[in-house]
Amino acid sequence: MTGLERRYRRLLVWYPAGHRAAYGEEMLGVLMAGSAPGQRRPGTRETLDLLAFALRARLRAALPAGRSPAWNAALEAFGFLGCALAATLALRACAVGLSYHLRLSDATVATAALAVAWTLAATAAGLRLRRTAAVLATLAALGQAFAVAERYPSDPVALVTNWWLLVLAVAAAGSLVALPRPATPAPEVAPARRPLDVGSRIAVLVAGLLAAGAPLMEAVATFSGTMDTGDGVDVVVWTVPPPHTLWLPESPFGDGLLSTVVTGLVLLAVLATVVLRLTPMVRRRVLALAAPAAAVAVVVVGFFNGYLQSTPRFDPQVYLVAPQWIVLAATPVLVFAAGAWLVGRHERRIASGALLT
Amino acid sequence: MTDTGLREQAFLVLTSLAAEPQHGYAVIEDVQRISEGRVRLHTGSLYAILDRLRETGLIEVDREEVVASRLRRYYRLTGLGATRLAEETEAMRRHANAAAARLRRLDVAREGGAA
Repeated sequence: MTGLERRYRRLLVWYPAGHRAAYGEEMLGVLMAGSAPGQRRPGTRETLDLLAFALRARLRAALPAGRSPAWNAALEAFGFLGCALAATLALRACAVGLSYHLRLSDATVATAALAVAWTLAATAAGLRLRRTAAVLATLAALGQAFAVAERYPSDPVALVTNWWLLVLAVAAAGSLVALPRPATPAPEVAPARRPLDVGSRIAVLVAGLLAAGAPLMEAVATFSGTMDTGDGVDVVVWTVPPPHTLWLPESPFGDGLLSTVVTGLVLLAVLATVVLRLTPMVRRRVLALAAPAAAVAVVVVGFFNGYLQSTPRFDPQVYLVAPQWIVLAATPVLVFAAGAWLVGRHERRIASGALLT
Repeated sequence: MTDTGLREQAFLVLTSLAAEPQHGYAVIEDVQRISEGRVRLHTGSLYAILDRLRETGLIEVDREEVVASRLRRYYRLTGLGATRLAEETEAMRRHANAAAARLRRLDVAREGGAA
């Protein structure tokens, strides 16, 4: 076996077993036939193409009713909402970075790149440019994973606290990748195929932008000057407490500024309203898709609190051990599987109840 | 392309198989030839399309061969696939005719405006 063949085989492993059994050897033959004489490594485009379709095949295999109109509508809705939320959080992180220092730091530039990618992905998803949104969201999710992995050696706590966000990113990108090409809907399924109206999509994006911009707006409104910290870094000084803002205790929305909390609550209210307006079948599936990220956030607070509190006190850093990795990796998968199963069971019960009455 | 119809790549794969049963790599080369080099299918995309076309009954396996220790599976168009390709071709022809007619009228109007 040549090195090239071995590398192609490694790429084909990303496909689900069923797909490999049906097409694996045949695909390998095509890949080898298409290789140039003396080629030693798979080409970049070929590699990306294989990985993208392998991911798509896996996601389809993972969704028991992945091609039903309700699942497709849920994938479309969650793909957009997940991208919009990820964009909001990345933009907010940029805004916070900008409000502490007047110029873009390296970290803020990296976050800004992520924010741009998520914003474009959310916009494309909002415009129903399915393939563009899937590609952009996949790139953004990979960037998010890279950012977390890069920080891990020096800051393992950040990986744990950002794990839910990574799960959200993967779920949003995965939803868009798994979304089948748009079909011409029959009139009776049209509402399920178009889960979010234009107003809902605009409302989510505007509320996201407001929530993201709140720290910067606060900083601008209360700016009083800068202070040199002695190492050549200017730090922004605010007129604190400013007359029109209130400091709140440490809040889940960020720095504890009132406007940040208010805009965060507005965003949550908009998201909740949009989800509540979905048809019940689509809503249940959207919640099943959102559940893994939410579950990870709960698990991190519940089971990793000791680790999060104690790790920063040790030098050198204390890294995660195998059981902790397993919990982080298995939680989203198991929660999604359980959610999809519960949705199916619930609807089978409703259907059987309807038959009996 | 929406989907009453087929997407362009799937349409080209069906067109390729309309000539004769072909294996995967031959389809890639044929699609490139038919599209005059504009569409270059990669292996992942090709097998996603072949899988979908098989699922929907538009193509089926014709035969398998082992050439230089490698599996070659030949695919052929089914009756349903031929019907669907014919319908799609007719629809595209109608669209193209409509576009050409309107462009001609546009040209006439412009020439009239210029004169």
